[in-house]
Amino acid sequence: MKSKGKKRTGKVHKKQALVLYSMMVPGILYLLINNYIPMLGLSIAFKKYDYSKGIFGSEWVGLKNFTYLFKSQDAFIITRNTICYNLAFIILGTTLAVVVAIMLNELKSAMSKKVYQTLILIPYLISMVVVSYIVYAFLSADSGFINNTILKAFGIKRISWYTTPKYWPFILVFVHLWKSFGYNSIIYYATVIGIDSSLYEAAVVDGATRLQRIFHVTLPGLKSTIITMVLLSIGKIFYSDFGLFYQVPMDSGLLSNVTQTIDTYVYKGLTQLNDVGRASAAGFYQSIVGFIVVLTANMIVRKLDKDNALF
Amino acid sequence: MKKKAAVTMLAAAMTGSMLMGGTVLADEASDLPVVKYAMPSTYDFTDVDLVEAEINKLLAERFGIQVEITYINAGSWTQQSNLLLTGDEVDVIALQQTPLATFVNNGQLLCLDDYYENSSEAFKNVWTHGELEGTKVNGSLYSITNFRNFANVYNLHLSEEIVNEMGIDVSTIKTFDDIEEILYQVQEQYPDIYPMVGQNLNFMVNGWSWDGLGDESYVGVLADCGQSTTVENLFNTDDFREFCEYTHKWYEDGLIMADILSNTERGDNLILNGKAFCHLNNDLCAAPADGIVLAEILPAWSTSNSYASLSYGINSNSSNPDAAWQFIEAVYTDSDIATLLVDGIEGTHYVKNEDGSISYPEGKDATTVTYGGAAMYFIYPNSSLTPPLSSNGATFFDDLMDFNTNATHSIATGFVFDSSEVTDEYAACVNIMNKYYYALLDGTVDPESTIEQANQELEVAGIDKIITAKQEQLDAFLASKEAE
Repeated sequence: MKSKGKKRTGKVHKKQALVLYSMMVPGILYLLINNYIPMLGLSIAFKKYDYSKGIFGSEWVGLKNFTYLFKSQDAFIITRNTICYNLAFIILGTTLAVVVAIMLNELKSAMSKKVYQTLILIPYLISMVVVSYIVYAFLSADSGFINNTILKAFGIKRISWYTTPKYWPFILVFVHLWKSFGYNSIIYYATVIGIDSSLYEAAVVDGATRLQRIFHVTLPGLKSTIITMVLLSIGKIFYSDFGLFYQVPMDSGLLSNVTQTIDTYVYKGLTQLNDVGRASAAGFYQSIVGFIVVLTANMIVRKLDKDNALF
Repeated sequence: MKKKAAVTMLAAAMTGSMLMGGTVLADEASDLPVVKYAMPSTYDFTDVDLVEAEINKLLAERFGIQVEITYINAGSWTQQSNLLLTGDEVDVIALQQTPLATFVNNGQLLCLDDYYENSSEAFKNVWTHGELEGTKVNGSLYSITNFRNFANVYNLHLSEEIVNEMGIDVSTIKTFDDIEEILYQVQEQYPDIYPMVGQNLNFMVNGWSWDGLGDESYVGVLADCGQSTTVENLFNTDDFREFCEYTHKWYEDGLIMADILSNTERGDNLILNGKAFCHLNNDLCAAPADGIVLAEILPAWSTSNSYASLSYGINSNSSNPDAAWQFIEAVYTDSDIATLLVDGIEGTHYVKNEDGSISYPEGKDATTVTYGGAAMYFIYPNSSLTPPLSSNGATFFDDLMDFNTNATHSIATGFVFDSSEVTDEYAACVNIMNKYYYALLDGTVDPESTIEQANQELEVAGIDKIITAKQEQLDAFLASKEAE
């Protein structure tokens, strides 16, 4: 009897589950078509692509397409730039976004909350091309705001920004933070709002100060979101924001030691060659290394704190 | 019930629209093969369908084919044309920006040798043997060059207003020393303007006396307007060093716009807006804009890839290459079809003048006319069959032919460098050239020390290997040319 009853409920479960699973179909189809089928294209990275023969008819060339990425002395520079900038973006970007999210939460007036949320989001919505001209308005040697107003006021000689590499690591990090912090803060802010208010009330009853509430309630509440966001950006550590590194320095050749990343290098080197195989090889290299880095980072997180690991 | 009805209606609407799409196609389909033709454009034409219908009437009658014309914005040309070539999306296509040898190496083009052999007499008369050599790769014909200026003359563009005020005789300006003298005078008398700016964007001038042998990044060049037979590193040529020493001196003395490397405006516009006095420019034989006078600094010469830098070929994935070739013959030999393609319909898109030239209709210009590419005649296959714009003069296309014949030609004319054996080195060197070329050319950095640094990097990147390969291929090419 007992076993019979169990079976029946099992069947009902299966039926219910089937309905639920069927809801996944559109999503899975989307992933399949958009993300998995194109992976076949990865094979281009190992071929000499011939337009008349197509992807599958082209000749295999092994690792020949990859060599140019490592052969030149630029290989070190572009890898260093890509990784170091991304690390700076991850560390500074996350800190700034979390701080702003907490500050938004501490605001009392609903009106000012809305105004600030909108204002900090605006830079995120501006196209990089436009941003590059905003930066140019500041840095232009002849007519730029900094040279003509700020430096003049202090009696400092004009600086030729676009030919002096040493300033650019700071400029690029600043521009990136300015552009992206709003969007990231909103994500963190959404988590902050979701923290159970009874925790705050309990903390108040226990006599916790504002700062103590932030450090002992808000930040622990944000922990898993921060870890997820950081892991996701670590996965993209071998990619760079093309607009930021290509448009903002105005493609100035003299700056390339500090502005060249894997993406801009591949773009500049291959637009002349129109070589699909080598371009795919660069993409392949970026995604494989990114994949390994994510696995490693996740493994470390899992070792330290199992609940917060992605998988 | 309601939901069901809505779903049925939606489905009906979708099938309906699909059927409609089907019927439209059925209407268009005739027995004649349709050639898909794509070319870049700097203007937006709204009457393409109208002109296409007119052309199709003539094509059906005279060549037994139909055409579908697609204009692609010049700014997105490289990406869009590559996508078109991945399948059977286009039959006849303009080839530019990417070196011709790359298209061939990628298997993107059909070999045209047999088609050319069997083509009409009229077509064979369009280009001479030597001109056809210019679009051959490894001895086979892959594309047909188009009619335009094959040479460039390098002029100094000066502000007419200031020239008149200062009483300068522009015919006396011939060398860099002459330019320098005037620049200092202008700096003194007009302290508020830039004595000199770049031609456009971040470059001082588009090319000079070095021939990149089909390579716009100039990794390994022939100096002296392509008259030398030795392939050299551009940075080691006297031509380049001398140029940079002058510009650097001018830059240091404040004669050149400080922001030249991040400039975004055309030099001509800066002159006409009263912000600048002069700039160097590579010119065709056409007259300059009003308010600008010219002084010739470097006489007209043509680079080795002048024929291959814009040409028309057939997609290797084309489903009907025979019809595609018919279309090429049509636009290169039939003046009615060529005129329709370039200028549109008489009366609607242009009016004919007494001297044989044409003008835009009353109140229209190149940017507002609904069809008419006479202002970009240099992109079309063969605009020498069409009437020129009145602003260029009635004899413009004849003048252009004379200009081409009288120019100095690079000894490597028709040579196409195949970089496939040195691709890794080439990609690395292109990046280094991008880094230093404009900075040096614009005079923003010290030539001596910067060239030394650049050469060190180039050496590590393997420029010697590229130069050796280029030299070997060039020697073989010159030997085969002599043997003929």
